Amino acid sequence: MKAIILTCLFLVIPTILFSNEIIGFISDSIDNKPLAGATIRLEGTNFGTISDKTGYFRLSRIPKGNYYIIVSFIGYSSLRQKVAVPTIDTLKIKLNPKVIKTNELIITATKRLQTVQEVPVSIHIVGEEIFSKKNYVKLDEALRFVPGVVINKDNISIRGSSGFSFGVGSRTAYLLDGIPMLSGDNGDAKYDIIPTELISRVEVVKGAGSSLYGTSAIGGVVNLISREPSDSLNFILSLQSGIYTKPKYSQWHYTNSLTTKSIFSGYISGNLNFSKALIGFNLVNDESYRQFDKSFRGNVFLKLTKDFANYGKITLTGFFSSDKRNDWVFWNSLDSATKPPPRTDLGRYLISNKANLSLSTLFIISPKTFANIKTSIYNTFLDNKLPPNDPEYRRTFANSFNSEIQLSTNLFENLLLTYGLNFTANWVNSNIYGRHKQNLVSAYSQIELTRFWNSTITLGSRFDIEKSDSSKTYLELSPKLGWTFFVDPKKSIRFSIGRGFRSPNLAERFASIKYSGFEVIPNFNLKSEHSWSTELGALMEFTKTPLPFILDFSLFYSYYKDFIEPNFVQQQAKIKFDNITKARILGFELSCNTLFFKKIPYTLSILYIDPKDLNDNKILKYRSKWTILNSLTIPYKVFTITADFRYISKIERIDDMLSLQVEDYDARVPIYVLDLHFGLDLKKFRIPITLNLSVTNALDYYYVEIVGNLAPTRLVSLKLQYAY
Amino acid sequence: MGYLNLKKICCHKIIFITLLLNLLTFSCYEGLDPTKEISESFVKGKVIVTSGKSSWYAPDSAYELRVVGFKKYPPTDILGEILTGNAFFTDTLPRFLDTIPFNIKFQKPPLEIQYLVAALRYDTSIFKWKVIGVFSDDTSFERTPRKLFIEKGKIIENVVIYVDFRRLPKQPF
Repeated sequence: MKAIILTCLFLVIPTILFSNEIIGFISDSIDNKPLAGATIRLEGTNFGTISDKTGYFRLSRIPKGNYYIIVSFIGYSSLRQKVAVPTIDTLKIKLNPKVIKTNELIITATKRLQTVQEVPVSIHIVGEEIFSKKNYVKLDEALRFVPGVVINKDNISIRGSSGFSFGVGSRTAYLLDGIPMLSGDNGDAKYDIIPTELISRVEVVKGAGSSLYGTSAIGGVVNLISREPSDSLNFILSLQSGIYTKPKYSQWHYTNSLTTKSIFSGYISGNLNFSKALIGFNLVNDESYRQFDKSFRGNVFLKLTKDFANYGKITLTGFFSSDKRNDWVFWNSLDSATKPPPRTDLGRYLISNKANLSLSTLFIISPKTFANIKTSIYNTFLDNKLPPNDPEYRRTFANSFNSEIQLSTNLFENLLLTYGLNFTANWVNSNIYGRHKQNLVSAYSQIELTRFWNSTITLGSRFDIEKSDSSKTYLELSPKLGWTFFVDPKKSIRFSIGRGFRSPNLAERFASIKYSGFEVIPNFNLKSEHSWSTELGALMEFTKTPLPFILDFSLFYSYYKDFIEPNFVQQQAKIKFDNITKARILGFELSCNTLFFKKIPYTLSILYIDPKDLNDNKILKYRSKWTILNSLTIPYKVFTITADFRYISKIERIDDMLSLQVEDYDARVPIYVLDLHFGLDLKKFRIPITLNLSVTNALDYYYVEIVGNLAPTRLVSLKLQYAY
Repeated sequence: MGYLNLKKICCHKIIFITLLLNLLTFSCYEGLDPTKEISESFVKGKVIVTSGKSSWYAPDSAYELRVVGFKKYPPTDILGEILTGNAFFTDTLPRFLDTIPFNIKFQKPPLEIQYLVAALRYDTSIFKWKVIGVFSDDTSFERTPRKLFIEKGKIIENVVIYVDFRRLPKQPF
């Protein structure tokens, strides 16, 4: 009885003590238009929220006192304003539009609400407008235009961290709403887990992130943030259809008719009595520009949220994605680059399913302490539908369970402690990997000191224990130090240094597979790879120059040890994943945003890397030294034209052993790709319709991203979207 | 003020037009072309170690493996022939395997290669090379070399050099 009374008191007293609230309204300072989706937070506390569709927000359970409220919104200058709690009146906050749109969104990739300027590492944010205006169907299409990111099939390589590894293993942590989404067997990133219309933004953190995210974050972190269900009824339906134009070389015409790519997608969102809900879907039928590369994909995504104003929030997320596709591996030869090798059975296909259920609970324990508990199960299934006695038969069923408790406490006004425990279990049942388990148990903590000599200092560390089946137990410690110095409100300098690691996944250790002439053999003694990464960077805003611009510049250096690489061994094309290489990657990245004639945004980014294999003193395989990205958008009344241009220098070194199986394996050129997007938005005439015409690879430039694979040729697609 | 505005607009225009011109320049690149005549010539093939993987010398006696093509037979020495433009060679090849693919690029074809060999550097010195396999139809100790005629823009494929560490061929230098 005593315990029950004490529990009740424990629950009730804080509610009474912290029942003050701030209500506010955020609008554009020029036209007073309400700003939905602006981020609000109380400096030095964990209190934060996002303005609703009408521009209003509410912060509850705040102790009496004086605070600074910080409001930020993309395309507007951030505002910092003193506020006394309790307040009686509604706060009216007007934000001034910025001359240049910056990525000044609050990010969660460092497990805390922050502005980009505060973070001591390089960040890039892909906003939702990229997905709505550019006819992208899968995430990788957008990531190809993120500075410093290169896509190698199912691997995301940040600043050269990954080469080509047959779609196995990732040196980038891949998250959905902060929950890991690398498959339990191959440890690869599936880009179709969520329809692109449901992506609110993608946060890309560059450099080792293992001090918070553990294994796989050795090269960086990609965090997909899904849309939040809305308060009022909201739905969108899209229909998209496109054709691959005929290649100019007749050798590459494998069919007389034009091939198409069609997408039907949509979502509905609203407030049910018991929670807010969002459900979305997409169906994609891709006939492809190559023979034996057809696919049909379906995807359903669901998100339910319940906000307990004074106590926290519960979010339930789930998705199911299934695709049936041909099992394309590489071309017949450059002369017939759109056809598979002649021995291929063209009727062959495989089924790949992905399913996930995640529960995320935010508890407000006290005004200074928050707890976030996340639990998730992610299942992947693959079956290539061959008879079980066929040497190339593949059937894999893998699960990845992840559970994390994270606490954030404000020890003092400018001292924040974030700490947590994480448990991950991967298990696989497969004819190619066998039955295996891998467990990872981790503890992490990070302390952040803000407003200290115009600086923010972050010090963190994570301790991981990894064990898979009969292998040894590996212990990993990943410390990190970050420092951001604010020269003035428009200029900051950042520095970070940290250790990263990546445990081999089950496929790298246990795979025993034969396909398309290749044979992968297991390596039970494979151990973790490690890195030390450091970065020195500056973010500067110049608004009074003839051409206003924002400049982000970074110098970075990473040293890798026990690099896990696929290595050809023994006779013929046998591949074994092995710890073979000591490597270092150094380079610089420059990003510049400007605005021509006050209305034409232009972005330029340049990445240079010098990746060296320190064992043989040569350039690392499958890396390009230069990447240059350009994006220019010309708005005119209801029309918008965007041109995105991507240059990647020629890959200098690949594995010559690939010549055993891949004809013309060394056919490769620099990459020059231009994508054009034309938009027509009729919302200004109160017609809820947008029309987008995209021409990807508009110059119809022929190139390869991975050996023996012609990259997509020109695709012209039209998307009609109705939004209610 | 008016002068400043004019300067600003000019600055915007110059940079903007430069960008568009750059874009037009890029449109001239064509990428992979299956019909393009190849101006360089290649010889592609494999080095097969018939004595097995286990017969390889220890790592301190097998520093580097390359396939080298000589215009003259017998050559004087590897480095001398390379420096005078009379020999062509591959990148460093993987060692300690029993099948090793190779690919040699030949500049200024047509030309005749009289002696194509797999050569092993057996010491830390860059001058210490040993022929371990010869492109030949002859299995005797002499291994009479088989000649190759390299035509312009052509690729000669499926060239096999057999290596038997128990019975090395006659050394030319």
